[in-house]
Amino acid sequence: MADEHARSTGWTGKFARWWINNPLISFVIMAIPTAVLAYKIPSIEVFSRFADLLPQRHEYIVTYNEMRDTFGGANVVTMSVQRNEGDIFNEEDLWKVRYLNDEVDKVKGVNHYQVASIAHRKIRRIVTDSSGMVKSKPVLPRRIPSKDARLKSLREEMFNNDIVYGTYLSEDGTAAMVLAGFNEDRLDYYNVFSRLRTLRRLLEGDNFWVARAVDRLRDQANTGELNKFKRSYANFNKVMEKQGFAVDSALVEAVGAAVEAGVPEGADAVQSGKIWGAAVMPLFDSVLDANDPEGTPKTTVYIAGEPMLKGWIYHHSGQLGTIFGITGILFATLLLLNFRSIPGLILPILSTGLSAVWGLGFVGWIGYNLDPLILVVPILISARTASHAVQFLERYRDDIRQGSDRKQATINTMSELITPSFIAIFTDAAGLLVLAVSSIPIIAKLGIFCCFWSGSNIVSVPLLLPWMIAHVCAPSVPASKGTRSDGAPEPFGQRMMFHLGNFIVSPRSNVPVGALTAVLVFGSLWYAKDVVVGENLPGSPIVFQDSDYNVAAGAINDRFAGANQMSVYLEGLKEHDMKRPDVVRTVEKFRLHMMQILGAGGTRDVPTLVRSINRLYHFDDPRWSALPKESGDIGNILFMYEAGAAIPGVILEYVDYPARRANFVTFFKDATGITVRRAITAVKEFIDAHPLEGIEYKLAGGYVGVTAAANEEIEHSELIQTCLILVVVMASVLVTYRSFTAPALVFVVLMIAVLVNRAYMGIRGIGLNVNTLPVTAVGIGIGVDYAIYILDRIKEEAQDMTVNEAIVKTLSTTGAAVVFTAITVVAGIFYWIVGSALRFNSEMALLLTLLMGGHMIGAITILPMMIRVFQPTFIKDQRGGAGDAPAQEQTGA
Amino acid sequence: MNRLNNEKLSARLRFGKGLVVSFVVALAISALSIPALGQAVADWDKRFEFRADVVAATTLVESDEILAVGKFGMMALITFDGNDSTARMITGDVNEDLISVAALNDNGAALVGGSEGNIYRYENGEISLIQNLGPDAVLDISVQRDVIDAWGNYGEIFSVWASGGRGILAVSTDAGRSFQDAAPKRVVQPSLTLPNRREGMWFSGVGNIYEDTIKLRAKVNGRWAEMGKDFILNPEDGIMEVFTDLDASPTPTLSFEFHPGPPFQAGDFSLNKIMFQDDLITAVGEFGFIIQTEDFGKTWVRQAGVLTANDMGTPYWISGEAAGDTIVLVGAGGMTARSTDRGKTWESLPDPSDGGVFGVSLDAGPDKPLVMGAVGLLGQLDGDAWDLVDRTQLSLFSWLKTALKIDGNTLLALGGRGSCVYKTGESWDRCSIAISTDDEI
Repeated sequence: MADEHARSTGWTGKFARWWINNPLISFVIMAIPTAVLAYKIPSIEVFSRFADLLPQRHEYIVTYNEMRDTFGGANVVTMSVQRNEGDIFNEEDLWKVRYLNDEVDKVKGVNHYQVASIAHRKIRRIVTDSSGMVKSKPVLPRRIPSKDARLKSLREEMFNNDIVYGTYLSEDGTAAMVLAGFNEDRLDYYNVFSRLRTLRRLLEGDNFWVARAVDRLRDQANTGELNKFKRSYANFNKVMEKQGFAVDSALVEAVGAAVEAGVPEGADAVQSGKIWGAAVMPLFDSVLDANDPEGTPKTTVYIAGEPMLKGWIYHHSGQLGTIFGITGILFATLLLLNFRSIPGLILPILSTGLSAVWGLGFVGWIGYNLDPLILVVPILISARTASHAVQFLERYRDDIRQGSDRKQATINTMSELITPSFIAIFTDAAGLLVLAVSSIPIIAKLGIFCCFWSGSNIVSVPLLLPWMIAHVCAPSVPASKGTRSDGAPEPFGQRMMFHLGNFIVSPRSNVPVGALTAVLVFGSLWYAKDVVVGENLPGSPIVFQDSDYNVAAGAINDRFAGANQMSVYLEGLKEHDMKRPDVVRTVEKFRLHMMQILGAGGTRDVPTLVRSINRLYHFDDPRWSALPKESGDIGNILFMYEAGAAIPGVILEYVDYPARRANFVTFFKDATGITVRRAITAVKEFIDAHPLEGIEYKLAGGYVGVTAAANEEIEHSELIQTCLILVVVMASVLVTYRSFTAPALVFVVLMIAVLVNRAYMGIRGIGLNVNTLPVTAVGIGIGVDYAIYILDRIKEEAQDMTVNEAIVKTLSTTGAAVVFTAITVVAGIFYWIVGSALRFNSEMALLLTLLMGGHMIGAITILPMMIRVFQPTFIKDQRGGAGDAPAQEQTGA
Repeated sequence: MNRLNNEKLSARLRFGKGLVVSFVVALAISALSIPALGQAVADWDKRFEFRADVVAATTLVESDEILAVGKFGMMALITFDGNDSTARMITGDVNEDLISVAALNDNGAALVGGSEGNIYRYENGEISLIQNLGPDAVLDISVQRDVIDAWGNYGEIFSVWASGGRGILAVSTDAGRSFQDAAPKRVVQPSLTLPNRREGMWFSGVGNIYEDTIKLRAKVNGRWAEMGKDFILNPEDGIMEVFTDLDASPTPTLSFEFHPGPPFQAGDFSLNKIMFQDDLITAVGEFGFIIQTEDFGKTWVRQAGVLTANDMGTPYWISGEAAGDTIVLVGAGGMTARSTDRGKTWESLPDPSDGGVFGVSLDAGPDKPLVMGAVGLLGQLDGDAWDLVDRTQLSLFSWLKTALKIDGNTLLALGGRGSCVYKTGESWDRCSIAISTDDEI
């Protein structure tokens, strides 16, 4: 019966027969490219790059890239040392701030010009003596006072220091901030993260002095210089004794023995450092363990900022093993339950493996990095590969049950599935490829390599599987369990789908399905309007709200002007333009304008600096906190600020050396979509109302600036990507079925799923951001497969029976397979929802699950019902009239 | 048909019931929202703290209100009531910092000085430009009145003086309606005694000396010392070099007249404060200048000048106050000085701080000056030492500059970031000023 199928005699049939009958050639065709691609897999590197998250073609980012070398980047860590009872004006906490400041300045990749805190030597207290001599002293003296009176005086000085108060010192004096900018090119985020976490642990411990001593011992041991190692060991012992701190003496003695042994024979400094470092580590770990506070620490250290966030992502990457393991078990269980044979388990896994080799090999050849953040999409593709394989195997088993032998069933299945598989894989790949229109590198790269990965399913499923089945192993096919008295097939899944099919073809389904669809559409439209572009909540959307990172970000924003900066740059035509009084005065108006925005906590700008320095050079008289009227005076003040600083380059936070460009920074409490939009709107309003001759305002830098660019790009890309994928999908369906009705039917199913997805985002407050951007395109591309499989099968079956019969048969066969394949796809990503500590992965998996589910449900309910109601000609024409008789009366074929 | 009608009626009733239920539910939701609405109203009623820098302030005549001015053209009318004090913000079209203010006798009127040399008149919520006095800031406006009685009543205004940067000194004899330039071009330096008779260099602390006025009253071997032969005095920087030992008798003295200002920049100096004691007008400011006139500015005389062997630098007097025969000056780097003979002789007071002292008040008596300054400095002289308030206890997080006497027995000090402290009895308390949002002028 199966060999009567038209397609097995068409070109697909011929090709299938050739493929199966020439096993060596077909093997070589698959093996050579696989080997070539596999060759490059070992060269793949897994890391994140901040720049990959930014839309590089967006004008804000072009400006930002141009300016960041001068004014600093947005890759900044913000740390807060917070006293939980009282304030930080005690000797220990001030030492902690200093230690954190000094140690973060040593971390590899730090931009030393972007380190700042009350303990940094560039942050000064400037006083004018009675003769007018301006003296600049560090805000926190080198010798940190221990006496109450001096500490009190220090507190008063800092509270009255406009540079420090509210910026580096919280308004209540309970917290001090340490800022550190990092390079944006390839940075070892995990190293930064690990060191900062260790520093946090050191500072939060019960005995800071011992923790500091052991940290210095470790640090000095690593230098490989014996004198330093000896001195720090002696100091450690002294501190231990003074503090009465107990630790395993054997560990101390082991370090002592290393000190006594001196430089290992033949070892250079690097090797010595490694040996001594290894000797110190057990002691280091032991001290830190013993030092960990039992309850709430006296001082809490909060750390936020992009490098720290990346570090958390790497940290949680460790979960991938668990996630993959559980996903694998879930997957294997589903396959075993369904096929009840080892080949049924192995063959989909083999397809997935081959596809992964092709995908990863492609990544290696084009030199992309793998970002841990985007791994959920490749996993989804793998799950999709497996589901294609399941679909293939199911069809093969159908054919066997209908009497074909193994080889013929393989050829029939291959020839019948080549077209729908090709369309389905094409739409999967197209959905991913449209992501490449984004100028956000991480999205574009994801689109390109995942398109190839997904496209490789053409090899791994309709080519590899028939080859394997025909020549290696085939899944066992249990005997058909027959049908029940009502005509329903015996297997549970098919039986349920049979009943669903009968319900769909009966007029009884009109009202419930129609009403449900209407409710879904209108309800979704209502909630979908709440989706915002950008983040919806303060902190990072990549991790959960109660995560360590977001708690830290919240705590820092509660106490300080705001950790989220937005830079607007001003660029003149010639040198000294930024000293023009009209420019400085306009920037001051700009400052006042921006400070009216909800969420703005402060600014860093030239006029404020000029006012402050002008006052200092007028004997600190508050009346002279004014803007000079002449550019020469403004220039003198800026020169004096730079010339009087402890380290060069302090002026670069405000203007470049020729004073042709200036940096205007506004600090915000958060970078939510609303805040970012509000900020950009306010900036544009001001620029429109205050044009400056010969000066160009250039947007935008800082975290808020680059987020604004990303948001604008996302809004733009999302529209283009959705339109593109819809066009591609519709066009492929149109070409395949040569009917406008077919894409229209598919469109309805897709749009309902997308709408429901959007509504869910609106209800849950999930913003449209760089994380959720790929979901719609990927979801449409992959989800449309279900509709195509159903449509194709109904059309095929309708050649021999009525439309209603075709629907019932399709649902009880292909429909059941669609449900199962959807479950397998969802199984591939489901554990990410509950098992991932990264909100990004969890939400992406959740949204994809929802979208897949939506597509699947739409494909097995709304789509067949529409076919029944509208009786599209592209189905009816080929069968010579459709009947409306209830299916159970005619089933049994 | 009846059955059909009944069914329609029944359907309408159901629809009607549905409407009623919907209405009741909507009403319930609205009712439940009312407490939240009440909370929102309560939130609006919360006080918005006045956090602006008060650079200068004055009590308005025959008014309970204080006019405070500050950066970005800020003007506010403060009604003092301890922790319930309020500030009404005054909107005006002023595009500069306002840094000095003085009350006029007209009810509620005042003169206000700006950072760009403009002087304004404030009256009945309106501010109008009077004139521009020069290229730099108007740092002080002082009103010279005939009589000020013990009840706070003001006598007739005799003159108004405004001083500022780059040599601004202007006087108004029509109660502030117009000003004329009164910048001192020639100041008399009375005889300065040389610290010793030996050859050497002496620094006079002033420059731009009129060469023809230089008089070294000293003898060399019995003859009068000659310029160029026995000594030279560089008129630009005021440095004198004596080439030979001088005779013991007469005691060597130096006098001259000069145009105030730094070397080669005559006239470029700032006078930061003007004070009055009857007809005596004292102006103090940059380069340690204490200059006085008793003839309404025709002749200015420098006080407190000295010759020193080293260029020690000069004080920078930021403010001062005169009462009776006493004048107290305060300045940069914690400098304070007092004269009890109307400026003829001066004594240095101990430094209350190493930071700037920005304001002084003699309201508690000439022997008990109250000083205000950087880092929340607030202290009163008690004998030979300063009794400083605990800034931490008072939560003083910014500088203080202006002291005002309220109701005869309350002293109020204002400063940066809306800092406000007051003293009615013995101790100082923090006062809180809320911005009144309902009646902005």
